Amino acid sequence: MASTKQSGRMRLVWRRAVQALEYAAALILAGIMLLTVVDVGARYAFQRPIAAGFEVTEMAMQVMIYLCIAVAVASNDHIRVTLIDPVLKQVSWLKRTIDVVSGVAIAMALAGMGIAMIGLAAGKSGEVTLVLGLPVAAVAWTIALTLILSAALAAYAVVAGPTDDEAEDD
Amino acid sequence: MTEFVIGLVALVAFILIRIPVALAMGIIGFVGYAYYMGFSVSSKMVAGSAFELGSYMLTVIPLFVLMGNFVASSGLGRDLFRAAYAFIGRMPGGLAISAILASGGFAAISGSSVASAATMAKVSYPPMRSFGYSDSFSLATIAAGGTLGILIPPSVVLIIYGILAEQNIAKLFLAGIVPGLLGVVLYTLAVSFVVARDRDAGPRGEYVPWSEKWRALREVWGVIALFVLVMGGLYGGVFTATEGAGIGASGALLLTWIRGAMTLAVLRDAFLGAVRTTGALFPILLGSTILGNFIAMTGAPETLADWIGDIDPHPAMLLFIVVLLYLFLGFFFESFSTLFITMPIILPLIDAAGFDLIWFGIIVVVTIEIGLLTPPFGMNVFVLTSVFRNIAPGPVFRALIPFIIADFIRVALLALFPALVLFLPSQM
Repeated sequence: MASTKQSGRMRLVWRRAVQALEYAAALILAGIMLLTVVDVGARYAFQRPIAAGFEVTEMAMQVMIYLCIAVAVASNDHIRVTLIDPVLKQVSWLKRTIDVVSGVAIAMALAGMGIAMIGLAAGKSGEVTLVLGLPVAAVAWTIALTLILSAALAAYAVVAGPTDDEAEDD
Repeated sequence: MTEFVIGLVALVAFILIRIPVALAMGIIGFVGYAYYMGFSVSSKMVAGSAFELGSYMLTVIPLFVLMGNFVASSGLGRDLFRAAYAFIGRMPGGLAISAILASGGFAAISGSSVASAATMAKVSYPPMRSFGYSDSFSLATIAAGGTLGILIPPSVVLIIYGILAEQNIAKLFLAGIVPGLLGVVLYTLAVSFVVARDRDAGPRGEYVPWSEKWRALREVWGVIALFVLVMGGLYGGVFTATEGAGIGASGALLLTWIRGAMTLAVLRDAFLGAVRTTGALFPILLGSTILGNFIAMTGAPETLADWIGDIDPHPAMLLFIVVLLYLFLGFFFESFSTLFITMPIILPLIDAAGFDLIWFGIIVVVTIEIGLLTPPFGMNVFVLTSVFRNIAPGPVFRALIPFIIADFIRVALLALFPALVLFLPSQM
């Protein structure tokens, strides 16, 4: 009973975390959209484009993509070829095994990429952007942390098993 | 070359056993690169590729997806169908032709085939049914019309191709216009052919007075405004593709608001939908980059190009083989996966053979989109039959045969007359 309650609470925390990532990515996307419009508008209306529009957009995009990937990983939203699904429907344990193996592989790949990104961030220490002088390493650190968070989400998805929606799809 | 073949076989095996496409490409690329350069260098290559993934140019993808999401909620699909119906609904097969025309119009402001089909299904299926069109013919028409979404600009698939092939996205968009319109014409002819053989397949709609016609036409000003804003800006050099996507997304948001369709839920769903699509697409882009680095290491593209150079096939024969390959892959893989998997191998060959890569991109996209309509995995058909659960996919696939023949004719025309594709971009 206590363990069910604990796993229920865990799922709720997990869901809230994914929602937070989702909304953060959506906010950044809204910011990019707005920045683009203001940049183009300022360029033609006042002959004064936003000087750092390019680099801010790029940095925001770098962070946003990895937030989006974290959301996709947590929701098990991967593009797969479902050619053998009709067969797997008859052999559900095999489908579950493939899903677990690929889930573990995704978690490991994301963790590995996160560690490699930490190395890259360390290498970029002191590097700054051309216009605003923003630290490039900060973006790399953020990506690394998001990748490691994604790895944790992928690992949790494997441990927690399929969600109700996924089970229904099966 | 042996390493390349082993990598390719492993990739196909991984993908076929349901490993996510991005993971399969990433693992093969990482391990293969490590075989040549060691794991430390390979890790650095992966980290570098991951860091470069968020480039300014790629911002175009989530922004155009966002634009499509707003457009889908704006109610413009319904108005497009009404306008088309007002003018040609009285013709034999008029409702089906209206659905095709409305899909073409919708495609001009949305970049996704499945979104086009799903939206048009909601607005055009009920009237078709009430006028006595068969379920299978109705859904076949909507599914075929939906494929126009990935060719008529803006198109997310064309953007992906442009990025992979390093081609100008604005030129690719322009190149897609005539082939897209050709698709509208050929699909209309396919409907007429079906109705000519069986009058009962496409009963005429009701007469609509001229006052009503003009009113219906006025309702679609938003589509024209948004298309002119985005394509005019790109064509006129007012803004870049990325800026065009931002302006398009903002324009679509504004349009949805002006039309009174904007609610907090619509706003949230549009943004969160774009986040989810981005999260599903970009890992494949990263996997493709990593795989591409491995393939470049193997030297396979050069070897294959030399091999083809030695055989010296007629360019038409080479094109024919490549089209057959994409047709085959289109039957089994969805469009993004097909592009990502094949481009690192095919592009150098096509480039070496001297084909124009803008023209080739359009041929590839038209060919791949046939796969959206064919069994076993015709995505558009399954999207529609999942919405209308009482209709089985089998009869819809059969009803699609005239449309698929129309697509084959279109590929042949585009291959024989490259000017159909290249005239507009050459004016840029």
